[in-house]
Amino acid sequence: MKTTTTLLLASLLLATAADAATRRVPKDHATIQAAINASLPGDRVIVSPGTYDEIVTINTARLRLEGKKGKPVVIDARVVPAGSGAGLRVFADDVVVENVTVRHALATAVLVTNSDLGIGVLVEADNVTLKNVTALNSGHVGFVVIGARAKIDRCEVRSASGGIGVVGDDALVRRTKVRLIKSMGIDVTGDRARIEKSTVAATGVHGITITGNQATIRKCAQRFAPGAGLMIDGDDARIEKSRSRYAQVGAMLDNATNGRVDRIRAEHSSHSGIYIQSAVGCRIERSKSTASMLAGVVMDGNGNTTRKTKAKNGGGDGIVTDGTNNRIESCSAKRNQEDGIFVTPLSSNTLLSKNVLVGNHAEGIDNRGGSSTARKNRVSKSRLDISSANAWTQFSGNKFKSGGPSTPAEMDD
Amino acid sequence: MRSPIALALILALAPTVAAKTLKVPKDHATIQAAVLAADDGDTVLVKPGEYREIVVVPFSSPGITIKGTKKGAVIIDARVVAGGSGAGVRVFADGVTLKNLVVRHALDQAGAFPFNDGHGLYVSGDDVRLDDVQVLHSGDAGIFIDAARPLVRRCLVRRALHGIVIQGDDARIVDTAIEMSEDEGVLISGDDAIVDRSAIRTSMFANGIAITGDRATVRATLVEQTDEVGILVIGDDAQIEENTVRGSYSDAGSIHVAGGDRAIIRKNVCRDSLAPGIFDESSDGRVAGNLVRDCGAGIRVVADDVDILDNTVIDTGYDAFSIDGHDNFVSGNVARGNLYDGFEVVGGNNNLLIDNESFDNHAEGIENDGNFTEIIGNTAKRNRLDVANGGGISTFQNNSFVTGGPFTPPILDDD
Repeated sequence: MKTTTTLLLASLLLATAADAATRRVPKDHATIQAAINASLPGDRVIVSPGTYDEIVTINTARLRLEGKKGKPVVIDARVVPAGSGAGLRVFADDVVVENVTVRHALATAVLVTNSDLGIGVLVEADNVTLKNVTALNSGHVGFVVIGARAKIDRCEVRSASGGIGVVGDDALVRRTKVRLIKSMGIDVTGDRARIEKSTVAATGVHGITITGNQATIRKCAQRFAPGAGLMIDGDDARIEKSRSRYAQVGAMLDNATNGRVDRIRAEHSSHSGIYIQSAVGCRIERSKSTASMLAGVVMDGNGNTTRKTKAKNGGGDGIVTDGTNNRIESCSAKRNQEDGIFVTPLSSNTLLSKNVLVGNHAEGIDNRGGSSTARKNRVSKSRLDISSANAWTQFSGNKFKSGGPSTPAEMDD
Repeated sequence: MRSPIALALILALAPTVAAKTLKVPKDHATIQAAVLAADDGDTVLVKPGEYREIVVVPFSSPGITIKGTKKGAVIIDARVVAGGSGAGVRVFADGVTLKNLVVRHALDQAGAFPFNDGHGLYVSGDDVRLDDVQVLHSGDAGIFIDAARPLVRRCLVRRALHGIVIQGDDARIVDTAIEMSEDEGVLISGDDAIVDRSAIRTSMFANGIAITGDRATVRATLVEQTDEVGILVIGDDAQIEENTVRGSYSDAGSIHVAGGDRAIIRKNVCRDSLAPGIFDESSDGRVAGNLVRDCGAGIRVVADDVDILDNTVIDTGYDAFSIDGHDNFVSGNVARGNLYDGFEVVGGNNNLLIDNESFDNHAEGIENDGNFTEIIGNTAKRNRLDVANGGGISTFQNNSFVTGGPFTPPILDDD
C-alpha cells in the first residue's frame, strides 16, 4: 500500500512537471503579457534581451518569469506619457521573477488601487521571489511587497521616492543595493524579517528599517541618511556585523526587548552612533562608534548591557545610560567632547565595570544616578576623572587622578 | 668703515636678537600673563597641560607667537565660568601666530560684542596665522575671523555651530578638517579665498563650503554629508578643482556656482548624492574633466559661452547634461546609464555638441530644444531614443545613432 501511494505521488509530480510549459518571448508570444496570459500555474516564461514597452501583470500561480542574466530584459513602463502605474504586478502566489529590469513606473492620472502608483514591482501575494530584479526611476517605490515570505535576492533599486517596502512576515532581503532614494531605503513591516549583505546609499530619510519581532539586519552597509542608518523596532532583534556612515543614528533598536547590537561600526553619525530606546534586556557588544556628534552609545531602558564597545572622538558623551539595572562593562570611551560615561539622573542600580575612559573633555565618569556601582574602571586625562551626584552602592578598584566618588560634576555643557 | 654687507647683516639680525621667549608656566603662570608681557616678535612657549583661561591678544601685542611645545597637548579650556565665557582665544592684534594649541568649549556669554559669542577663536587682526590648532566644541563658530589675509593650516574644527567663518579678503584654509558643524562648514565673505586640501564632514543644516567673493579657489578638498550644497561659490572667476563631494541633499547641486562669470570647474568627483552633481550658472567659464556618478542628476549649465569638455556622467537619476544658454561648446563628454536624457539642450541659441558619447540613457541620447544648434560627430546608441529634436538644428553631421534623428520630435521624456 505504501509503495502504491509513493508511486502515485511520484507520477502526479512527474505529470505536473511534464505539463509545465515554457513560453518564449518574442519567439512564441510577441509580448511578455501575452505569454503570461497563455500560461498555466507552474509554467515558465523566458524573455529574450531587449526593451519591452508594456505593463506586465502576473495572475498565474507558480509562474516563473525569466530574463537572461547579464543581458537585460527591460520592462519600460512609459506606455503612455502620463504614467501607467506599477510596471510589473504580481498578484499570484509562489511566483518567481528573475533577471528583469523595470524602469520608469509612474503613477496614473487617477489613483484607485496600488497598481495605479508609480511602483516598479508591485507584489500582492505570498512566497514571491525576486531575483536579480532591478527597478529604476520609480515615481513612488521601487519594490512594494504585500505578502508573506517574500524573497528579494541580488536586486537593485535606484532612483525612487521609496526604495523597497515589504509588509508581511518572514521577508528575506539579501545582496540587494538601494540608492538615490528620497525617503526610506528598505522598510519592512513584519515578523522574522532578515536583511543581509545589502547596501543602502543616499536616502532622504532612513536607510534600513524593520518593524516587527525577531528581525535581523546582518552584514549590511549604509551611507548618507539624515535619519536612522539601521533600525529595528521590535523584540528579539539583531543588528550584526554591519556598518553605518553618515546617518543621524547609525544603529538603533526601538521599543526592543531582548535585542542585540553586535559588531557594528557607526561613523560620523549626526546624533548617536548606537542608540537603544525604550529597550529591555538588550545588549550592545563589540561595536564601535567614531565621531558621532551628540553621543557614541545611548542605552535608554532597563536591564540593558553594553559590553566591549568603543566610543571615540565624539562631539558629546561617549556612552550614556538612562534606566534601571543597566550595565556598562569592558568598554572604552576616548577623546569625547563631553563625558566618557554619563549615568543620567533617572538611572538607578547601574553597574560600571572594567571600562577605560581616556581624554574626555568633561567627566570621565559622571554619575547622576542612584545606587550605582563602579568597579575596576580606569579613568585618566579627563577634565575631571570621576564625579557623582549620589552615593555609590559600591565603588572599588577604580583608578583615577581627579575627582572621586563624592565629587560633584562641575563644568558640563 | 664696515662693509655694506656686514651692515645689512647687523640690521637684519637686530630684531631677531631683540625677540624673546616667554615660557608658560615657567616664567608666567598663565598664557594670558605671558601674552601681556610679550612684545612684537616675541614667542610665548607653552608646555603641555590644560589651561583654564580665556586668552586675549590685545592690539598692543602684534606679531607675537603663542606656541605649544607639543602638538595637541596644550589645551586652552574656555569653561572658566559655568555660564560661558565667550570666545576662548581672542586676537585683536595683527600678525599673530597660534601654533600647536587646542581650544575647547567656548560658550556664549551675555554681551553685544562678537567675542561674547562662543567662538573657539575670535580674530580681528590681519595676517593671523593658525598652525596645528584644534578647536573643539564651540557654541558658535569654531574659528571666526573678521580680518584680512588669515592662514588656517593643518587645523581641526570639530563640533561647532559654524565651522570656520571668515569675513575678509585673501583667506587661506589649507590641510584643515572641519567636522560636525550644525551650519556651514566653511563660510567666507571676501575675495581671493583659497580652500585647499581640506575636508568638511557633516554640515547638518547648511552648505559644506560657501564662499561669497571673487576669485575663490576650492581645490583638492573632500566634502561629505551636507544638508545643502557641498561647494557653493557666488562670485567671478571661481576655480573649483579636484574636489570630491559626496552625500549632498540640495536640489541646487553638489557643486554650485550661483553667480559671477568665468568659473572653472574641473576634475571634481561628485557621488552618492540626492543632489545633482554640478550646477553652473557662470558664463564664459569651463566645466571640464569632472565625474558625476550616482547623483540625482548630472551637470546642468544655465549660462552662456561655457566650454563643457571631457566630463563623464554615469547612472544619475535625471539628465546627464542639461544645457540652457547660448553659444556653449559641449565636446568630449560621456553620458551613460542615466535615467533621462544623455544630452539635452534645453534652450538658447548656437550651442555646439561635438564628439560626445551617449549610451544606455533612458530617454533621449541627444535631445535638442534650442535654436541653431550644431550637432556634429556625436555617438548615441542604446538610448530609448538616440536623437530627437524639438527645436532648430543648424548643422547635423557625422553623428552615429540608430533610432530617431534630427527630424524626430522628443516624445518620450518624462519631464
